[in-house]
Amino acid sequence: MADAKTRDLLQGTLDLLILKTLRLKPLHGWGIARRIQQLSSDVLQVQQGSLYPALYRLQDQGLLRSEWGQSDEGRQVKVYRLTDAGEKRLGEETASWREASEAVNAILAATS
Amino acid sequence: MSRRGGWSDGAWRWLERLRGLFRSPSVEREIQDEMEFHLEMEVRSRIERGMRPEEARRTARIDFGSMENHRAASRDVRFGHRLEQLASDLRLTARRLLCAPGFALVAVLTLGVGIGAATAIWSLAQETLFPELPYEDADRVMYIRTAWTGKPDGGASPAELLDYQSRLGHVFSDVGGYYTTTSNLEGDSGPRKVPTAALTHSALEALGLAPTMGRRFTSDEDRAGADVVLLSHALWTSELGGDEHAIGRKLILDSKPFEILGVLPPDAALPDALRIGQQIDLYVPLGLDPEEITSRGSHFLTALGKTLPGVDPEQAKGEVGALGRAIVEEFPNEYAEGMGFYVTAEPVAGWLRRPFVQPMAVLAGAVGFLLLVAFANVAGLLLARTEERGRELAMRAALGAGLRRLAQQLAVENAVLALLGGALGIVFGRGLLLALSSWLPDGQSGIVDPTLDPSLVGGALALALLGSLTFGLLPLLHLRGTRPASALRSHRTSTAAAAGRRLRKALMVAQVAVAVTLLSVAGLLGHSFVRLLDVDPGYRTENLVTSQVSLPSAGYEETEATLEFWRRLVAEVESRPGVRDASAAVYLVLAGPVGDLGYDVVGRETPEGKDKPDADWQVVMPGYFDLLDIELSAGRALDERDTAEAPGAVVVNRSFVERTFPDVSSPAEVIGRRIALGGEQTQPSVATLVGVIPDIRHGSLDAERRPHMYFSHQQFRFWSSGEPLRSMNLLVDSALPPDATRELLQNAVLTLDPTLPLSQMRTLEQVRHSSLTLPRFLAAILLTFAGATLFLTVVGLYGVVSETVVRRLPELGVRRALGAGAADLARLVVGEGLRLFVAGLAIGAVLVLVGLASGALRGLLFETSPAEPTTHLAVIGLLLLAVLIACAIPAGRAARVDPSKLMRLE
Repeated sequence: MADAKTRDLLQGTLDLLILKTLRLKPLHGWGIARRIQQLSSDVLQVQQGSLYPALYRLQDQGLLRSEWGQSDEGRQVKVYRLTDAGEKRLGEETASWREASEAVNAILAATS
Repeated sequence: MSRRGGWSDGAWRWLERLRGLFRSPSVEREIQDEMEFHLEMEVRSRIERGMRPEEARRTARIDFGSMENHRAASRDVRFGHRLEQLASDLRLTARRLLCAPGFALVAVLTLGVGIGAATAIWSLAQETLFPELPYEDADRVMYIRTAWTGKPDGGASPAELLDYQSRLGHVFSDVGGYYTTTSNLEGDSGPRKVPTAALTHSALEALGLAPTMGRRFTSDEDRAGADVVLLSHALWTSELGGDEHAIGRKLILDSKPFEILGVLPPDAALPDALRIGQQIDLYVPLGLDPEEITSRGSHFLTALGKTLPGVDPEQAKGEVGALGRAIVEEFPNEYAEGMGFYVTAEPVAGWLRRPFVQPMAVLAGAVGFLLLVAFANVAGLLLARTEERGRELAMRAALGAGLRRLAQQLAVENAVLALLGGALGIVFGRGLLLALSSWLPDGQSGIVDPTLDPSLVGGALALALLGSLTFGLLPLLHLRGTRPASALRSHRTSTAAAAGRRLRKALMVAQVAVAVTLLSVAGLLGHSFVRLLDVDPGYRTENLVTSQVSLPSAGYEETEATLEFWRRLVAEVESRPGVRDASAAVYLVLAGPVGDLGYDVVGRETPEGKDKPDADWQVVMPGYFDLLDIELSAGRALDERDTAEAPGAVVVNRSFVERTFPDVSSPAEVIGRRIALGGEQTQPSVATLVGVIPDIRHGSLDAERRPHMYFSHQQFRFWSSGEPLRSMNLLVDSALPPDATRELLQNAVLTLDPTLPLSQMRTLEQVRHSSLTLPRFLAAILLTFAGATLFLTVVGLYGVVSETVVRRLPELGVRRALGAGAADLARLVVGEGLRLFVAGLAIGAVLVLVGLASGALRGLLFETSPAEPTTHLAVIGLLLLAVLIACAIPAGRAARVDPSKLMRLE
């Protein structure tokens, strides 16, 4: 089950994914989880236990803010959006992630 | 949706944080709603994928996990949660402390007493031993003093100051001098005497005293006749009302107008003034004219210099000393060989500090002990709580509280105790400091500023926190290692608890040891002081007043004029109604050391190269011995017939006779013998013994017996300048009340010379009282500390013993049931207390012996041997009593134990 994989996701990586997801458009919590699942072709499933603490933490750090929006049924839900600081952090983290994964790949590809 | 951007994002973030802090219920609700929504959506999506509704709901719920956990996790992350925790911890602490008021009260009081005493003494030490000097580069300012036989702390004469200025340029960047006097200020409120200093402009430079308004006087203005003045801040405020345009205005001083050049800052003071806490209000130029200065004899100036960068005090001292020796060689007439004249330099800070060093050392020791006891007490109290705390913590750990959370709660509780104790300590310390400063030697109480140094208070609080946290968190250590279940089991048999008890007992023994030491020292000092109070100095001190009169050099250059003045003054005073008798002397009794002089018996001269015997000298006017009720053992007193033309006469004391004429069987036999006095300039050069008096205590009530010589004021000269006779202490036996007497004296002096100031008039009783200030101070402080330590020890002992009783209650019940009497049980308890007492006593006795053998109290004890049994026996008795008091209640409890009730409890 993909659970095993999502539990291994480092806190930093989850943050990165959340930031990225919200860049495209503001979403509520469940929407973020579903989006990540969709975009990763069901490989990554975010558990509520990790999602909400992450959202609150990012909010406290000033990278996200929340506001009241409407769900598809017209229900009042809390919707999260990226702040300017969040956008900036997304850029930094993405570059950082790319660098790290390239390095790891290089090592794994080495034959000697 | 559009993004609103930067500024409003930041604002939103903080608003949200505040909301989390203050409106947490609504935030909690939002989280709850959010979670529920998420769950609903999850269910719906499963239904969409084909699950049945109930199945969808069930699996979704399971997968979602505990709602409570998520909420808790979210809550933890939220800002302000920490503060909430702190708030709840504080509430818990308050409840706990209120539940055990005895413990809380004792702990806080103990900490308060310890910290208060320590901070007060430390502040005092700072002020007296490390005075903050209001000078630029204060550590480079040095006091240049002279000394010669009879005067250990002399000033500089104008000629000498000029020498320093011209010949020490390689040592000091500036050398200046000043003297203090009073001048008549004619202000709006009438004429008044204002303390004034006349100083060279270089003195201002050396000290780096810069006016806040206006300027200093220049070297051009530093000449005789320059009518410029600097004001102190206080005078500027009081006399000129803080006038901003004061510069340039004129003040009338001694009937002459002086132009105001500047106003000095509020903390500016000359070193002399700092030492005796005196405020100087006017600063005028000294105006030394090198051409006019020839006399080297009048050492009325205080000289100081600021060393050049790179010159250290030792070097400066050496150079100054070398110059001194050179001067003596260059002017042999002025610096007679017998005079032993030398010049030395000392950093001003060191000079100010000197009188305080030994007393402060004793105080520091005492307060150190007190602090130890206080902390030991608190540690013991906290250890006692460890047992019950341990059980409670184990239970909470079992229920799921994290170690960190528990630690936090314990830390908060102990921190609160420490802070409360610290706060009490500040209040107590401030009061103690005020009390202490009023006990300081006369005139020095102005030095101490009774506000506590904030860094010091911070340090004390830190110490308290450290101590309380260390001991308070001990229960956690125990918890870490064991599983909660075993920790929950009865603590009585656990080894950790036993170790805690042993530690507590050891602390108690240490406390008793400290109490023994402190009480012994306090007892000795107290005993010594009481002896001092009662000592008979050998002369009368009741109903006599004294006042010092000093003649300036102007108008009194001739010795004859000086002598005439004194004669007329005493006659004038005696002629006033209400005055029974009057006389005068150069040195006042009980006011410090006197001069000394070498001598030889005529016919028995000391061989070349060996030291002559020396004796203290005093110069008196006729009627002196009579006034002081000193009866002659033989011969006659000095009187009017001992004029300058008459043969030299000297009256000596018993010790002098014993030392100089050991073979004589009665004092009368030495009458008529002659002695030759040392010092080329001394007159009379040869004197005949005309009288013998008993030994009296002159310099202080605990003065050692020294040989004394008394000369007539008409005959004695120390050297040609006639200096000692310029200042005399009047002694008057008056039937009038003090105020009337003071006016009378003032009047008498003014009649003879309207420009002369009269110094403070005091009764001889006051002088005597003053002379005891230091012993009184020390004794009072130490007794206070010893008392506090005793109190703390009793409290601590009570705690330990009663805890033992509570713990052993079942055992005591069993003993009772088996036939032991109430008295037996009580004896058991008291026995425990006594064991601790004896152990502490033993250690304390060793400490005391070591301390006394090391001579720590040397010089402070008057006719009191450190080994004297009365004090020590009293100390042991007092402590024994204290132990019994401490054990009384627990012993009573033990005696009343009811076995049947106990069995039910178990």
